[in-house]
Amino acid sequence: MSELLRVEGLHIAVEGKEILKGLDLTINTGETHVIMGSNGAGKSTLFNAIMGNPKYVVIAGKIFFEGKDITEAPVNERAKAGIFMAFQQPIAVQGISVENFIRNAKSTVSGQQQRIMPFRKKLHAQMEQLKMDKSYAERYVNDGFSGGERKKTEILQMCMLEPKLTMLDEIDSGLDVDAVRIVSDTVSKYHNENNSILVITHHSEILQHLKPDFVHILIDGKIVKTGDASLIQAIEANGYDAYKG
Amino acid sequence: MADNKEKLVDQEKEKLVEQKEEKIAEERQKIDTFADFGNMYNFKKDFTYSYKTDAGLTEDIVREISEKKHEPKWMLDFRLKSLDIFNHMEYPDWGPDISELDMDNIVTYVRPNAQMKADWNDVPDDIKDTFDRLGIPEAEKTSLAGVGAQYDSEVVYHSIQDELVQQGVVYTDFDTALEKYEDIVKAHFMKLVPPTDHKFAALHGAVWSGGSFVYVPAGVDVSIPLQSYFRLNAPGAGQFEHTMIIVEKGAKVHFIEGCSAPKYNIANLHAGCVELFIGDDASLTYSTIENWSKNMYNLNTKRAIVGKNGTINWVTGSFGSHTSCLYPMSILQGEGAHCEFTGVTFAGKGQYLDTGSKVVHNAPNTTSNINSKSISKSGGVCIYRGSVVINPPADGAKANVSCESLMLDEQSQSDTIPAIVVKNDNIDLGHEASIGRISDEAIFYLMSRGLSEDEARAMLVRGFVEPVSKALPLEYAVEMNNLINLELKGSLK
Amino acid sequence: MAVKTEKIQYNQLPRPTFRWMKVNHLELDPLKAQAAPAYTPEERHDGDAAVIFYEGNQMPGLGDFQGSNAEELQKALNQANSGCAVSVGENQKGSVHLKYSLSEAMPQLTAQLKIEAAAHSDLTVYLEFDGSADDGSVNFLTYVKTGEGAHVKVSKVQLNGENVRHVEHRYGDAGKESTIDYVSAELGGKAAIVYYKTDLMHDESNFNSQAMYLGHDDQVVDFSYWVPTQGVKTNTDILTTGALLDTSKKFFRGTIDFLRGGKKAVGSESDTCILLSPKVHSISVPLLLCKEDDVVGNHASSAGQIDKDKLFYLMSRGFNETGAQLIIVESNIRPVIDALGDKDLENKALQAVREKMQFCRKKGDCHAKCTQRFPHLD
Repeated sequence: MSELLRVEGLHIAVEGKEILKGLDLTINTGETHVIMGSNGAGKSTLFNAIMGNPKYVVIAGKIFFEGKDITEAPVNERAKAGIFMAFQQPIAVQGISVENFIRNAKSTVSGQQQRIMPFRKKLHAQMEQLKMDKSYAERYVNDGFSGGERKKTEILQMCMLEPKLTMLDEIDSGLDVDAVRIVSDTVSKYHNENNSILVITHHSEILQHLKPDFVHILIDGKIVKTGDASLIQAIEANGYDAYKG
Repeated sequence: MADNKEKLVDQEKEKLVEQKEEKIAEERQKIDTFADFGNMYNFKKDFTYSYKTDAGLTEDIVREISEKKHEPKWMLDFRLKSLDIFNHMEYPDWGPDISELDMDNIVTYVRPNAQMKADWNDVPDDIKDTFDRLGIPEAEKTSLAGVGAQYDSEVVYHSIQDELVQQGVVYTDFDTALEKYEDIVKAHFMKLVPPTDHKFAALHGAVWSGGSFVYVPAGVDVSIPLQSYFRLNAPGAGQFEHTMIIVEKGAKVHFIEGCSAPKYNIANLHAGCVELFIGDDASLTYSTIENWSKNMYNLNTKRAIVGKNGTINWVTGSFGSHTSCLYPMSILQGEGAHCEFTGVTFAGKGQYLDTGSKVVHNAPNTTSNINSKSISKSGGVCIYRGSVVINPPADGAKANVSCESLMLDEQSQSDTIPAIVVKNDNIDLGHEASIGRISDEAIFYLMSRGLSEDEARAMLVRGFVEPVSKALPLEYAVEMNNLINLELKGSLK
Repeated sequence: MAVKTEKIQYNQLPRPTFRWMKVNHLELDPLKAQAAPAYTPEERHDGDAAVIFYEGNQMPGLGDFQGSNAEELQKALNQANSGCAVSVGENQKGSVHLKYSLSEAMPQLTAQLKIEAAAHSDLTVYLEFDGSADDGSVNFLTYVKTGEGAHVKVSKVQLNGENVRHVEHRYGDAGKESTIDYVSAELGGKAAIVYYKTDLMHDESNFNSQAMYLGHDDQVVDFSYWVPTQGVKTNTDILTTGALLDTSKKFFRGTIDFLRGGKKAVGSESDTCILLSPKVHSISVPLLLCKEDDVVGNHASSAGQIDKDKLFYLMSRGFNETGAQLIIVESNIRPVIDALGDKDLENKALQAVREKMQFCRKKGDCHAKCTQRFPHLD
C-alpha cells in the first residue's frame, strides 16, 4: 500500500481569516477516510485546499500527492494528477451540455481525445447505474438541476474521470434515502485497491455503505482524534464536545 | 446695393430650402401612412434638417448608376428623391462616433466606372489567416479573389434547386428581380424602410446596388436554407445591397445571409437594407453571421413586417466591423404575430459594436422574445440598444427581453441601453439585463475537472453564446465557434 | 401664424437613444412666472441636527451636475426664494422635518436645501410637500454630502395639488464608506419630475433609493437616476414601483454608470409598474453602462395588469374589485411607504394612495374596512 496523499502542518486562510491551523493527514492508496466535525471546523476548507482553490491561501505547510509536492500546483494540474472533488454546491454552467463537458474534461485529464460514440456508450451506462435519465446528458451542466440531480452529476463525473483520490463534500446532503443508496453503491463499486476516498458527512448512513478505514475528527482547524469506524458511533452518541479542548 | 442684392439672393435660397423641406415632410407623411401597411409607423419621426449639402455625391452620379442598370424611370426618380433626402438629413445624434467616416468617398464606392483594385494580394494577412483557420477551401479562396477581377460587380448567386423553381419560389439577384418582377418590387421597395427613416437609409435609396430577392408563394415550405454569400466584390455591389424577401401566406423559409467568411472591402462603409414581408401564418428565419473586416462601418438597416400568426425569427452573430449600428426591427402587424430574436455580439480591440433589436407590437396577442448576449474584450465596446413598443391596439401582447453582457477584461466596455414604451394595460412585459464577468467560482469548478484556465474561459464563453449556435445550421455554428476561439486566442488573461 | 412656444426639456438621458421613441427626455410647456415671496418651511428637528435658513445662494460647486433642466437648476441656484442648510457634526445623530406648502400667496417655490453629514454621523431629513395653486410650481434643488462613514436618509412625501409642476434636482456626493438612502413617495402634482444624480467616487460608498408612485388623471411622473461609480466596492440599489390610472404616464430612466476602476461594484435597478387602465403609458429606460469588468450589474423591469388570479382570490374573500385592486397595489408599494420611517408621513402617503384609487372617497363600509386593516389611520 503506497502513500497517495500527505498533508503536512497545513495552515489555510480564507479572506484573511485562518481556518486550518496545522493539519496533518496521510491517505494511502485503497483507503477510505472520513472527516467529521461540527460546522465551521474547516472540513470544506481542507478539501478546497487539497483541490487548490486560489481563494484558500496556504500560510504554511505542504501537500504531497504521490510523493510530489503539489502545494503550488494550479487546480487543473491537480485534477490531471488524479484528484477529484465532488462539490458541496456544484455550480451551473450555462450552454455546455453534461456530455460535452465531461468528454472535454476526460480528454484533458487522460490526455487522450475521447471519441464521441464509445464515450457516449460509457456515459449512458454510468447514468443508468446512477438512475439518471439519459436526457440529462444533453442538458446544460447543473442548469436547473435539483440538489439531488447535481450531486448525482458530480458522481457521474467521478465515474467518468476515474480519479485516484475522490473527495466527497457532503455528497449525501439533499438526497433522499433511495438516492443516498444509489450514490453510495456507485462510489463503493468505483472504489478499489487502486484509488482512495475522502468523505465529509454529517450523516452516518452513507458510511454504512462506504465502510471507512479511518475516521478523523476535525475541530477548530486541527485533527484532534483519529480512529477506526467505531468512532462514528461514539460521535453519534456523545457529539463533538468531548473532543474539544 | 451689392449688399442688398446678396441679401435677396440669400432670402431666395432660404425660401427654396424651406420649400424643399416641406416637400420632403409631405413625402414622408405619404410613406408613413402608406395604405398597405396601415399604421405600422404609429410613431412620428422628428428629424431636423441641416442646411448643408453634402459634397461628393451628385445627381449625375446617381443618374449614371441608374442608367448603367437600365432601370425604369420610377426607380431613377426614387433614387433622386432619396438623394435629396440624404442631402438634407442630419446624422443621428446618438450612437457611435462616425466622424471618421469619409462620406465624400461614397462617390468612389458607388461610381460604376471607378477604378478600384480588389486583389487577393491586397487582402490583409490577418484576414487571409482567418480564411485559412476557418478552413475555407483553396478553391473558395481563389474564387473569392477572383471576383474582384470579374468584369461585372454584381453578386454571384447560388443556383436554386429546380424543385423550388417548379413550386414558384424565386431566388435571384435584385437587378434581375427589378427587371422580371417589376410590379412586386415596385410595390415593396423601401416601403418598410423608407428613405426618410434615417440618413443612411436615404443614402441606400439613392445608390443601392445588388442584393437578393426571394419570393416564396403561399403554402410553400422551403425545407433547405437559402444562402447568400457576400463576397469580396468589385466596387459598389454588396456595399449597398438590397435584400427583399416576401413570404406569402402559410409559407416557410430560412434565409442565411452569410458573411461566414470575412469580407474584405476597399470601401469602409456598408449601408445595406433588408426588407422582409411575412404574410399570415408564414414564417421566416433570417440568420446572419457577420464578420466584416475591421475597418468597416456597418450601418445596415433590417426590418420585417409580420402578418397574422406569422413568425420572424432573427438569428445574428456580429463579430466583424470597426463600427456597427444594427438593430433588426420587427413590426408585428397582424394578430398573433411573433418575433424571436437571438443575437450575440463580440467586440474585440478597436471595435465599437452598437447592436440590438427593435420590436413594435401593433396588433392583439402579438408576442416577442428577445435574447441578446454580448462579449467585449481587449478594449472592445459592445452596446445593446433595443426598443420594445407596445401600441394601444396590442391587447394581450407579451414581450420578453433578456440581455446578458460579459466583460472579459477591464479595458473593455459594455453598455445596455434598452427602451420600453407601453401604451396598453392588457399586456405582459418583462425585461432583464445583467452585466459582469466570468465568475471565479465557475472557472475553479471547470479547472477542478482538469481544464486549463484558458480552456475553462473559452468553454464558458462558448456556453454563453450557445443559444445562438443552437439556432444556426450546424456548419455555421461550427464556424461561429471557430470565430470565437480565434477571437479568444491569446487574449485571455 | 401662431407663435410657437419653446418647450422645456427635463430629465435628459445621459446616453440618448433612438429619437422616434421619444424617451430621451420629457418635454413640457413652459410655466408662466408667478409671485415668489421669500418663504420659510415649517420645521422641527431632533437630536444634534442643526438647521439654518438663509437667503441667496449658499450651494457649493456642483461640478458638471446639470439637474433636471439646466435653466431651472440655474434658477434654483440664483433666484431661490427659500434656502435651508441642515447639518450634523462628527459622530452626531439627528433628524429634521421640513414641510413646504404652496398657496395662492406663494404659488412658486424655488428652493435650495443643503444636507451635510460629517464623518460617522447619522442624519435623517423628512421632506413633505403639499399645497396647491393654479400653475403652481416647485423647483427644488437638494444637495447631499456624506462624510466618511456617515449615513444620510432623505424621506420624501410629495402631495402637491393637481395643478402643480414639481421638479426636484438632487445631487449626492457620497464619502468613503458612507451611505445615502432615499425613500420617496411621489403622489401629487400634475407633473412630478425628479432627477437624482449620486456620485459614488469613494470606496465602499452606498446609494439606495426606493420610490413609489401612483399616477392618475393625466399626471406625469418622471424618475431619472444617474449613479456613476468609481470607488471600490460600491453598492447601488434603485427601485421604483407603482401603478398608473386613467391616462397617466410614468417614465423611468435609470443609469448605473460603472466607471473604470470601480472594482467589485454591485448595482441593481428595478422598475415595476401595474397598469390599471387601458390608456396609461409606461416608459422604462434602464441603462447599465459598464467600463469595469469586476462588477455585477442587474436590472429588471416589468409592466402588466394586476394578476387575475390574485384579484379573484381577494374578491372571493368579499372585497369589491377596487378594494381588491387597492390591496394588490398596496402590497406592491407598501414596502416603500413603510420605509419612510415616520408614522405621520406614512399615513399621509397611504391616505393619498387610497384617495387616488377612489377608495376612501366612498363613505361607509369600505372606509370601515380600510381603517380596520390599518387601525392607525383615520
